[in-house]
Amino acid sequence: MPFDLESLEAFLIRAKALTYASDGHLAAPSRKGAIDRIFQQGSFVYRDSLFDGQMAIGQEMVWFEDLPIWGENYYGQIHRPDLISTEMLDQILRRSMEHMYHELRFLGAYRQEYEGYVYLDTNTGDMNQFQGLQEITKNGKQVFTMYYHGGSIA
Amino acid sequence: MSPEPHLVQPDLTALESFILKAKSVSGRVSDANMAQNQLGALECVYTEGLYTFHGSYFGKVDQIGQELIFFKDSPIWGANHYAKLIDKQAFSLRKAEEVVAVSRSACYYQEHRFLGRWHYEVDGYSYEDDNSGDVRFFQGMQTISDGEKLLYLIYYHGGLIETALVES
Repeated sequence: MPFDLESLEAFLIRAKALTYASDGHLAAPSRKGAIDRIFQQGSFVYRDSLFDGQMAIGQEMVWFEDLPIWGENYYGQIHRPDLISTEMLDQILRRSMEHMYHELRFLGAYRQEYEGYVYLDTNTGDMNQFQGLQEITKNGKQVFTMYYHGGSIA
Repeated sequence: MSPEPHLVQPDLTALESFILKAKSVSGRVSDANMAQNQLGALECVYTEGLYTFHGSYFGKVDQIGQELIFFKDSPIWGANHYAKLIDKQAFSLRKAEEVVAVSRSACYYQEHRFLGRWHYEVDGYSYEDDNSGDVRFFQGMQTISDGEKLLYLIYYHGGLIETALVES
């Protein structure tokens, strides 16, 4: 293997932190209607491609020397647009990501309370193979759910 | 000020019917062109009427994929999956793909559905599909075991995409 998992994980956390989480590194869309973000460091390239909105789907890929080596996809829905806006959702997700990336991780459980919303991230596995669920509730009502999964590919 | 546009969902019956058709035939209409922006992906495209299915798959053994359905050029539905060959000594990707293909086809043709629980046996291997939700929002897991050991798994999820809401 021409790269080690520690380098990949460090790259991933840096790439995730600098793209959607900080609303940076926008790039030309890879598919019509998608919002793409690219971050490159050395031989690693990261691309997040998202069809955004109240019902959103996305895919994050990492290439090493032009070979796809790792991927994650996610799908989320706002169930109660009367209780949460897409702007508030972005704020909550970005705050949570910022905390997790500060702890140099993107997996493992995480809970946050913000502006009356409770955000809960639960997942199993490690960066080689994982699946998880992000949920946001307000006053006990489920307002948002996102499923995600991914891992190494070869 | 003009009133807010009234947003409605697409015809879910027609959408579900197209998903089934596309999943049944897309393996046979594969277009191996590697797009510049999807470096290393195998892309499959199937069009019928105003609907287009676009599947994009990365990885040789362990794989990740995204399938999108476009209606009049707008993405309206998507499904993601991640597949892992758990026991690379005891089981081969070729056999895993055969078991999944035979089991899925049986579900499509016998039951005319792609969601809901499904169990199938192929050459002594046990295929299980367990999921929740419906075509609008779903998640699930497919597994292959030899009766005792887990050999292969696929996580998947998906549903409607924002642009599925069209102005009425």
